[in-house]
Parts: sequence; structure tokens; C-alpha cells
Amino acid sequence: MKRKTAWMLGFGIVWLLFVLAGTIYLQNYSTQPGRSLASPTRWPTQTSLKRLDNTPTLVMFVHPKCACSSASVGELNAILAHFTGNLKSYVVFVKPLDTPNDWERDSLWKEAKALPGVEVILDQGGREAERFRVATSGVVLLYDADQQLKFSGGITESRGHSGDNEGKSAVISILNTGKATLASTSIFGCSLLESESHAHNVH
Amino acid sequence: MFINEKNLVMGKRALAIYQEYQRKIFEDTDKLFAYLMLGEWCFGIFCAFVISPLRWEGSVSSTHIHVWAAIFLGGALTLFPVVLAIFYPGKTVTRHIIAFSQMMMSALLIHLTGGRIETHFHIFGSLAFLAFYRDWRVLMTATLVVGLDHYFRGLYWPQSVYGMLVASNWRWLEHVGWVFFEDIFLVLSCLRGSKELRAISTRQAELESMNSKLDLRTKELTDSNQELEQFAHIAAHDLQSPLRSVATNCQLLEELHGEELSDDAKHFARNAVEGAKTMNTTINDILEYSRISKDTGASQQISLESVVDLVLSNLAGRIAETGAIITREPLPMADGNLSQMARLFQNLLENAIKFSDKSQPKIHISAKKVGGEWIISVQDNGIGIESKYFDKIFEMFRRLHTKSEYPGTGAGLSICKKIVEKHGGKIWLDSEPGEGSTFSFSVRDEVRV
Repeated sequence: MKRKTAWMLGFGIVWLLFVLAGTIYLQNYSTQPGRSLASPTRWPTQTSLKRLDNTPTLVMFVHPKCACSSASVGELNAILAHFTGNLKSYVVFVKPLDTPNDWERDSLWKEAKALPGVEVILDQGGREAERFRVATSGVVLLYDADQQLKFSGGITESRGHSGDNEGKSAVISILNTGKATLASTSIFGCSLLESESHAHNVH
Repeated sequence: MFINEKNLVMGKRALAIYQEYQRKIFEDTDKLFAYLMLGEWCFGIFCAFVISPLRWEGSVSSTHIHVWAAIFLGGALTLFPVVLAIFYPGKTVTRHIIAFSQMMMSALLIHLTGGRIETHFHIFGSLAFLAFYRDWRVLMTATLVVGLDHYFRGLYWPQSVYGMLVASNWRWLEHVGWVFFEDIFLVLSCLRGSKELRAISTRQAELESMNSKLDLRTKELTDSNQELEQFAHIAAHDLQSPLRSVATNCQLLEELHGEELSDDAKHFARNAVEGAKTMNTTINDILEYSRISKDTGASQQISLESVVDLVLSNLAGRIAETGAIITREPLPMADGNLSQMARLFQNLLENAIKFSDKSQPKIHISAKKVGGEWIISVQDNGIGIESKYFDKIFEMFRRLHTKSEYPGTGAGLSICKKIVEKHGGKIWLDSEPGEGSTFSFSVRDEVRV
């Protein structure tokens, strides 16, 4: 009986450690940000995206298949609901070159299309992503009416996690008051394009 | 401590019943949680496959970590408690491990569904479900898990739980406070449930004790009754022989030495013979009365029509002698003891003929179905009985008239009563002095003796 209890106790401790380690690993993964690059501080002239005079412009780049970016699109929806002024906004779907036709037309595309007043753009091969120097799905760039970059970063608290977060609060603050509580935040999402090392391995 | 003091008050048997109820509740709830957790595990895997099946890097994909987490972490959170619920049902450790796992499962499901606010209700639902145990300590374990989870997340990953990079050190208390808010009601509900269970257990123990005493008393009464009947039977049987001897010897004395005896001596001898005969009749009645209980003769389907036919043929002499007119309605079939039923009808009809002040007794036998039983009535046009004697006449040897007025021992109706009761029925009468009497008895549609 004592031996059995000792076995059970030992197994219980191993089980507890496994559960705690798994939970911590999952949490770490969720809060591990994607790559952040320094985006142009002024609206890039080479871009094909149109901006309106005297109007701030918000651009979100997403990977069409990124599960985490659904939360980012959801948060963008919340931002738009909070702001009633003039704003030109884009959701840019970055489509890798070696993907079939309509590959990008998935649930995330439908979610973005459903956003009121948002223009959904297809970025074949990631040219616009290069122009804006973004690498992670869910990144939001906010340029003011003077074409100056006011915010660059993610608007979710972790990977695919919806809810209040500092990125969203910062964007709302800039749009409503012109003042930034934060200029950048971590971005949580898939890589928009293959990393060089990965591309190397694949090719 | 509080519980222990209560337990002492409850008494050993009540405590045993209470613990048995508690064990059943614990085991049943363990089983419910085993099913629930297996369902949650499947749901988690489903969510992972639907919401985040793959992680992407450009056009290259790999299995999303959520899928592995749902399968392996969800599996660990499910299988260990399920194994405990199967092999250690009702144990304290089982329900606390279940509480821990259930709250960790809440965290996993919230994670897998992208932190949706709706999934947070899983925590509150789980607390309510844990209250099924009626053990407030289980709720404390669950609340502690929620508290520690929020504390450590707030410490290391504040943005994941509070949406900001820097949060107050006490912010976790706000979240746990709402869990406590629900706990208050659930703990009260658990305590009330336990209190009710204790009251039920005490009542059941009292009832068992009363039943046990009642069974003992019934057995004592049955034994005593049997001994008494046995005694009456033996005594009556043994009395017959000396009684016959007294009567015979008195008769012989008168026959053989009648000339030598004075008139007074002859008178005394005749009185002794008459007394012995009366006593013999009484003894026979006692024997018959005691035989009703002892008679375990087979119960069978009998026609009450045939029983009455038999009795009428037995009483043919008396009927002819008194000129009695006996009419009857169709009588039903009944399940019972033939000789006892015959005795019942014979006693009632003999009484109806005997207690008549008319030149021609008129007797009517009827049957009426009421609910699940038959009411059989024997109505006469005799002398009738005052209502104050309705109960007394069914007592043994109770007589309302002198022997010179109406002969008999006074045992007939008590024998009738015993027969009817043995067949599961009742006997009663309606009567007015001078207006006749109606004796009725009930027999079940299917009588068993």
C-alpha cells in the first residue's frame, strides 16, 4: 500500500511538472513577438497605396493564412468603432509568389472585407511589405495627416489573443488626440515571408 | 473541527449514513467530471484544428503549437484525473486533482480560443460544477489555482492577462475577487447542502432505529401470540378429556344408582352434566378460534355461490324448522380458504335465523363491488342491535342476551371477525333494534390467505 502511494505520489509530481512546463512553454510561445523592422518614418513615395490629403492613414499587413491575425483584424474592427473621424485604412494581404490563385481568399480575407471603410489590398510577392519594411503578420502602421509615422507595432496582447492591449490603446489615442502613449509595440503573428534561412533550406 | 463536533452530535449510525451519502456524491461527481473532462479535451483539440491548425512563414507551413498543446497538455490535464476518477473514486485527492485540472483546462481553452471573453465563463461554470461535490475545500483549491495563475501571469506576462506591459502588483486580486464573489454563494450552498444531508442522515438513522424497535416488538408480540394460541389449544384439548369423564361419570351415576339418590342429588348430577356439555361447547369454540390462525390450508379460487349452497344444506334442518326464507343475489368468485369461508357464512346465517322474533325469519344475501373489493352482506329481519354494541359483539364470548333467551357461547361473531381479517377484509354491521341487522364484510377482488 505504501509502495503504491509512493508510486502515485511520484507520478503526480511528474504530471504536475509536465503540466506546469507545458503551460509555461505555451505562454512563452504566445508572448514571443515576431520580427520588427524599422518602418519608414515618412509615407513611402514608391508605394501604390493611395493616401488622402489631410487624412491619417492606417495600414495593417497580414499573412492570409495566419491564425493569430484574426485577433488583429478583430482589434482593428474595435479601433474603427472607437474612431469616428476621417481615416484611410488598408488591410494588405501579403501573398508569397509561389502560391496558387485565390490562395489568399480564406476566412481572414472575408473578415477583413467585412470591415467598414477598409480597403483590402493584395500584395503579390510582398512588394508593399518591403516598401513599408514589415515582416510580421498583424503589424499596424499609422501615418498622420502630415505623412509622419506615429505608430508601428501589433495591436494584440499576444499571439492570437484578443482583448484590451497597449497597442490598440495607443492607436486609439493617436487617432482621437494626436498624442501617442506608445510609438511602437511588439507584433505577434506569423512571418509574412519566408525568412532567409528558411528560404535557403527550401530552395 | 466544526464538522467533528457536529458528527459527535449526530450519532454513530447517522454519521455512517451521512458518510455513505457523501461518498456516493463524491463518486458520482468524480464520474461526471471524468466525462466532462474527456469532452473538454476533444473540444480543445477541435478548437485547435479549426482556429489555429498551422503556423506560417511565407508559403511554408508547419503544425501550430496549439494543436500539440491541445493534444498533449490537454491530454495530461484530462487523463490523470480520469484515471483517478476510475481507480480512486470518492477520494479526497481525486477531487482536488480534478479541481486543479479543471481550472488549468479553463486556462488552456481560453488560450486555444484566442482569449475570447466568452471562454472565460468556463471558469465560473467550472466552479459551479465543482460545487456538485458539496465540499467547499474543492472550491478553495480551484480558486487558489486561478489566483496563482493570475499572479504569475501578472508577474511574468502581464500583457497576456491584463493587456498592458506594466500592471499593479495587486491587479491579480481584482480578478480573483470576482471568483471569490461566486465562491461565497457556492460555499454557502455547499454548507447548506451538507447541513441538509446531515439532517436527512439523522432522520434516516432515527427511522431505522424505530423500525428496528418496531420489528423487535412485532416479533415479541407474534411470539407471545403464538405461545398464547398454543397454550389455549393445548389447554382446551387437554380439558376435553377430563370433562368427558365428568359428564360420563355423572350420567353413569344417575343411570346405575338413580334409585338410591335423592331428588336433590339427581338434580345436581344433571346440572353437572349440562355444565360439562356447555363447557365442552365453549372449549370447541376456543379450539376453532385458535385454529383459524394456525390453519395454513391452501388458498384457492372458490365460488361463494357454492359456499352458500353448502352452508344452506348444512342448515336445512334449522331452515325447515323455523320456516326461514333465504334469498340471494349472484355471488362472486374469491380466492380464499374454503372451510373458513363456509364457517363465516354459517355463523352469520345461524345468527340471522336464531336472533329472530318474527314467526318467519327473512334473510337476504347480497354482493356489491366497491373499488377493488366485494362487499358481501347478510340482511335479516331479526331483533336488531343497539349501536352501542356494534363493536362489542365481535369480542370473544360477548353475549347481549342470556342463554335461556338465545343459546350459544358468544364466540360465533369473533370467529367471523378473525376469518375476515385473515382474508384481508373488514366486518361490520348496520342495525336498529326491532328493524333487523345487516352484517357486511369485505373481500378483496383476489383474496390471498
